[in-house]
Parts: sequence; C-alpha cells; structure tokens
Amino acid sequence: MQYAWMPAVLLALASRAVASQTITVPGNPSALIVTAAVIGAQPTPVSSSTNYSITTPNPAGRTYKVTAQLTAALPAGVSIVATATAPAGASSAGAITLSTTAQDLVTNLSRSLNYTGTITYQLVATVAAGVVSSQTRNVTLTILRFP
Amino acid sequence: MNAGRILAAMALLTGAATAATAQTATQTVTFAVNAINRISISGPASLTVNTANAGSQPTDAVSSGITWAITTNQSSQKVTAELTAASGGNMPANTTLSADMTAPSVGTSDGAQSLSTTPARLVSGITKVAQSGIALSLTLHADVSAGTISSTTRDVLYTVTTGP
Repeated sequence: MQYAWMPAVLLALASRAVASQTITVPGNPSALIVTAAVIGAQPTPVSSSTNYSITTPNPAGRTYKVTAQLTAALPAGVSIVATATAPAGASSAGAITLSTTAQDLVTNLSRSLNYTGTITYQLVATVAAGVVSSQTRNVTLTILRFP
Repeated sequence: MNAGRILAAMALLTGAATAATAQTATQTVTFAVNAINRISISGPASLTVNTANAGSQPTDAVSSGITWAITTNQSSQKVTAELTAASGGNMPANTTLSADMTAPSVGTSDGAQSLSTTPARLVSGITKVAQSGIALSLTLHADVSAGTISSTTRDVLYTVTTGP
C-alpha cells in the first residue's frame, strides 16, 4: 500500500479546487425592443438591468475580473452594450459594446469577496439595421483571475 | 490501490481543478427593432399675397425657414402632403397652395406640388435615414380672379408611407 497516502492528498487538492471563484445570475433581462426615435435622429436605445453575484476565494495576492462575450454575432446596425457595477476597490470598465470576443466588464476584484451587482444591457440600433424580428443572443459572463 | 487507479483519479481531479479556474454564467438577451417612421415639420407658415408687377398676376408668397425632419428604418418610403378637410379642405377658388420638399440624403424630390385634400407625393425613395433640417417651402398663388380673401388657415398633413 505504498500509495495509501494518495487519496488524502487528492481530496485535499479537490477541496481547494471547489473553493474557487463563482458567478451566478438570477435570470435574464427583459426583452429589449427599439420602438421609437427622436425625429431626425437615430432610434432611441432601450435598456434592461439584471443582477449578477460573485464570490472570490481567499488566497492572498489574488485578484479577479468578470468578462462578457456574445456567443454569436449581432445583425448589422445592432449592438448590445453592457455596463456592470463594481464593488468598492474594483473597477467597472463602463459601457462595453459586446462582441464574440471576451471583454472585461469589471476588474481588480479582491479576494474573499461576496458581491451582488447590476448589469445593464442596452440595445442600440441605427436606422441602417432596418426592422429586426425578435431574436436572442446568449451572453457568457466569466469570472477568472486577474490580471 | 494500484498506480493506474491513482493516475485516473488524479486526472479527474486535475480536470475539476482546471474547470474551477474560470466560472461562467449565461444570460439570454431577447431583442427586436420595430418599424419606425416619423416625420416632423418645424412650424407654421404665414403667407400673404399683397403685391404684383403691374400688368401681371399677383406675386406669389413664399415661406422661408421651414424645415422638416425624418427618421425611418424602412426602405422605399415616400412623403405625401394633403389639406385636411377639418381645416377647411381645398383652397379657395383661384388660389393654390403648393409645397416643395427637398429630399433627404436618400430619396428624390418631386418638386413643387399643388396641395388639395388628395395626398400629393412630395418625396419618394426614402430608405433608412435619420436627418433633420431639410428645406421645405410653401407657396401661395392667387390669381386676380380670387379677389380679396380674408385671413384663413389650412392644415397640411404630411405622411410617411411605403410606396413608389
């Protein structure tokens, strides 16, 4: 039984893995439908807000960030802008136009953090977009170590 | 426990640890853009015919400073104008009110068109444009046979619709 000590070591490693950062969302934002414009100007953007919750583990010297990306591109002339609030000590990247490339929403999240914030999604459409029938896009929010 | 089982267990746990380095959540965003067709005119016009070159019909009165604006996210739109029945309908005999609407960046003007209670097309071929400050002029023409007409008003209804 020369490997008898191994299970304990592996379980210890597994326990450390479980204690990692997490991000959850309670649901989806309400539908974003552009319906109006100031005459002579581009259509008026519409917004919807939801919450997001994050926890970070305790290891010293670590910080984290939240990124967002679309899983599929948007129609031409249409964009979705995301803005996330940040806890004290962290930094919101402000209004980010989402794409299929992950972009930082919030950075410099501290360790041992338990925070619930707001993400506001804004739909922006130019007249060039034309009429766009109802459709959906998934936004993937990821929390990972930073930098 | 043999070495193979231990290695398998290590592989599983290593995978778990790797997956735990980045956590994700997904939100579904539902969106749509409805048809938008809006038009506005900058303000009322006051037109008075009050002079003539001797030997000719009275000189037309032409508005100044009127502009219009439009936002449409659709294609092949046109602007029509008509006199509303509620405001008195057609013009008095021997007078004509005409409108000349400059086209936006995408579209074609029909030039000056006489207005009546039947819609007259002023601009066509408007496609997906948001623009303001576009020129519009109204012209009042009165023959001498119209005689003297006391101050009266007509409402002009401008409409954006799909069509040639």
